[in-house]
Amino acid sequence: MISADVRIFHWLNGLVGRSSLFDNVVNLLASDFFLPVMITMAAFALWFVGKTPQARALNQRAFLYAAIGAGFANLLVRIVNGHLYRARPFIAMPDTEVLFYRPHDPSFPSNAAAFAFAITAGVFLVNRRWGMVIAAGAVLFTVARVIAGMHYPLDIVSGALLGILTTWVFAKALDVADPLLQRMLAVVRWFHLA
Amino acid sequence: MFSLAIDYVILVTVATCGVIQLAAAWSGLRGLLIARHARASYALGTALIVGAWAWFVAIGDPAKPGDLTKIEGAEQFGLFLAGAAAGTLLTALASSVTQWRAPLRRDRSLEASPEGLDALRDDVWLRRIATRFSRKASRD
Repeated sequence: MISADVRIFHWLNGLVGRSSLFDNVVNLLASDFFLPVMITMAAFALWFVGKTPQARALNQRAFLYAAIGAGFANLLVRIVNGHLYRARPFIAMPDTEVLFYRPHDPSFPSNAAAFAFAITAGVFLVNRRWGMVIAAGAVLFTVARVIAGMHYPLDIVSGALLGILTTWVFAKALDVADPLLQRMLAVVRWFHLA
Repeated sequence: MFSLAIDYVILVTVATCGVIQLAAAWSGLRGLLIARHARASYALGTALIVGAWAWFVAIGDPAKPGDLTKIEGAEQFGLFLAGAAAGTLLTALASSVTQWRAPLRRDRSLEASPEGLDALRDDVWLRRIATRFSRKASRD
């Protein structure tokens, strides 16, 4: 499995350096800022979207699932990183083409993937169509991270699974704690912001 | 321009204002629109998002190769939420100022209007909040 992981990494990372346009696009897509902000913005927009109060309330639930899931996924990645160290590809293999700065935190699981897919899962649980749009952004972001030499594919897959599962678990927990959630939303609604 | 964290919060704040303009125009929340008409709001929202990114890229690309500047994931998410909250408040205030005299609605009693964000279909945020607090003060 590990050798297949490294082989797929080499194939994807081997795409770097053939065209400066391609490298620039990958650099943009893999950026810490561009797609993560766009993905989170797309989820946040749901807070205000809805032709009826009921539709908007559902969309607001999607954003809450996404935000809480992403926050806890981040925390879980940090805990796993504290116990498990997998070196970044460019550290383990000096011939790796790197399109980016060189982070030194562990490669496995990918925090970027956990975050992007936690947001995706939160939205997808409530709004499938919007979830698919965000999923496309998450896939582009994480594949670009592999091409740019930041992660192995397995780091991405494990990060994505961790993000999706975390969001799913916390979404179920929020459903159980619905009266509390409704009370909190009522406060925000009192201020005409929900 | 400032530290990367502050630049990032500014990016998110301004982009949030743009996103809210698009979402509010789409959902008919006229009280949240900074421009009076939906079409102008779509244009303004797009301009704010593109402008925020253009500014952020112009002041220096933190993702350029060899640059070690970065915001750690959890911190980035916290800063995003702060920027989004600031952008929401800024939009509520700005739209209240620009739409204060707009003929959105005649009956301003709280009973006659829906709750939450839906009240902003036909009134501005600041007036709803002021009415709410003045009602509460007179009751107390």
